Amino acid sequence: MLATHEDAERRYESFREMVRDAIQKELPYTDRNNIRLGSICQNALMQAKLWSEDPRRLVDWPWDGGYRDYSYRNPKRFELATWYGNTLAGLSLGRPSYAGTRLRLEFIESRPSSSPLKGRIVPITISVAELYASVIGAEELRIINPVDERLIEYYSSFGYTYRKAAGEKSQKHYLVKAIS
Amino acid sequence: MKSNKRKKPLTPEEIRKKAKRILQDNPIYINDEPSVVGSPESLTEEVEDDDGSTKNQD
Repeated sequence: MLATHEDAERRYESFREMVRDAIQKELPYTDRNNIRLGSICQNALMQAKLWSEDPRRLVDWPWDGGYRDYSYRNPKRFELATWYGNTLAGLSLGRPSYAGTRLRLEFIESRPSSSPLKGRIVPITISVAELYASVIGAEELRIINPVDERLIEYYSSFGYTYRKAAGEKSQKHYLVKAIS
Repeated sequence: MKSNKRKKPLTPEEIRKKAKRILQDNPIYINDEPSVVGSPESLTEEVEDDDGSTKNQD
């Protein structure tokens, strides 16, 4: 790993940690002492491996290999592992644009079945991502390919705008919100 | 529109206040929450430039 790459990894992990801690302390849930926000550690990857055996899982993406590659390529990434006690309840990844003017939240996956945080993974993840965007100086957060119609409608009522990218290279649709 | 101004780093107190405000302004629970948002295909793309094209990240 190059020194500059390692420096970026260290610097941005300190931002990620600061943001996770700040949100965790302010979570508005009565059971918040059971909720832990962390990095995507080895333990998280091991639990995520078990998700692939769950018939209710909607995607077929290997978190262990996929995360290793993504994290190496993107030292400034957004990442979050959300735990309820010792149970991994959600994982997410995103990254800033090249000049850092925006943060893209690219993928959120919740535990496929019997999640103790059902209904709370997306709100928690988006709140952590908003704060990370703010800390790294991004001007907007984009939730890429939100897919779910109800989610789009719901977040549109909380300050997000739904857009379809017009560029030739990118046909993505996203929810976007300005970050102050 | 892109801003050329470099923002001042936030202090821990500012981060704490922002965390509180973000959680107050956002939903805290979603009925019928989807188990997947976005797609893993996005993760293998190159970093997006601020004009919409892609580049390798440092």
